Amino acid sequence: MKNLEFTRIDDRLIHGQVVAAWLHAYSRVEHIIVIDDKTRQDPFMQEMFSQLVPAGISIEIRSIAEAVELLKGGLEKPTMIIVKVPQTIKALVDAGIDIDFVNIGGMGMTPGRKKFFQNVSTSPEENEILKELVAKGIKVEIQIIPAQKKVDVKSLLK
Amino acid sequence: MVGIIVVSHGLFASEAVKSAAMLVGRGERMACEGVLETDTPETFYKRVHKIVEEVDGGDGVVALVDLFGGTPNNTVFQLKREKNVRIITGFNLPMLIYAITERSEETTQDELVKALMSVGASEIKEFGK
Repeated sequence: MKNLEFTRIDDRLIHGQVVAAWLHAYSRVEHIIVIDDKTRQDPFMQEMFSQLVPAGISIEIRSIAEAVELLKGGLEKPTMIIVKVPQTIKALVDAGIDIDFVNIGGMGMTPGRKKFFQNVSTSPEENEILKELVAKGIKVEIQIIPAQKKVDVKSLLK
Repeated sequence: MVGIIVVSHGLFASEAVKSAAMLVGRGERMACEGVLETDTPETFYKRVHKIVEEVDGGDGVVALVDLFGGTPNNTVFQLKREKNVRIITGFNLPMLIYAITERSEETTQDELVKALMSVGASEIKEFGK
C-alpha cells in the first residue's frame, strides 16, 4: 500500500536494531505503527516505546482491530509497521490490508518454536502462516540488521 | 549503598567492568549483563532481574546501559514496574571508575545519577589540541 515503507516482525518491537539501523536504512519513514493487542493494553510499555522513537518520527500503538480500520483508510506519511508475530501479519492480510513485503527481524526461541534459520525460530503454526503469505505473493525475508544478507523465506519453507 | 548494574549488547558491559577493574578494582554492589543474539526478551529479562536483586540493598539501583533505546535500556526500563532503578544511557569507562571509587554508603541514588551523567559527559574531550 502507498506509504508503507517497511513491515517488520520483531518480538522486541522497537529496540536498538530498529532505532540505530532500520530507521537509517529507511530514512523516509516519519511514522511507526506498532500493532500488538497486548502492548495496546499496557500503558507502561506504550510510554516506553513513545520515549524510544527519535525526534521527527511519530508513533502509535494499535490493536489488530484498530490497525485494520486505520490502514483501510490509507497512510498519509511514510510509515513503518512493526509487529511481534506472523499471526498479526496474517490477520491484517486476511482483513484485506495490502502488504507486499515482510521483514523478519526477531523471532526468538520460545516454547513451541523450533529453530528455523539461525536465531529465527518458528512454531508449526507460524510456518503454515509464512507459507500462506508467500503463496499470496508476499515477499518474506529474514534480515536482522541491514548490514546482513537477506534470506528469502520461500527458499527455507518445504 | 546504591547498587550499580552495567548492561549492554554482547560483552561490552562485562569487558568494560573488567577494564575498570584493571585500574581501580572491582566495585561493591556492582554487576553486569549483556544481551546475546540467542536471547529472547524473556530470557534476558530474567538475567537482568537477577542482577538487580543481587545489587539492590534497599537504597535503589543505577543502571548504566550502552545505548538509548536498545534492548538493555528497554529491558531495565521494564524493571521499573517493581524496582527502584534509574537508567543512564551511553556509559563510558570514566563513569564506571567514578561508580567504583566515589560511591559511598552516604551517596544517594539521585546524587549518583547526577554525578555519573556529569562525569560521563565531561570526560569526552579532545586531547592534545
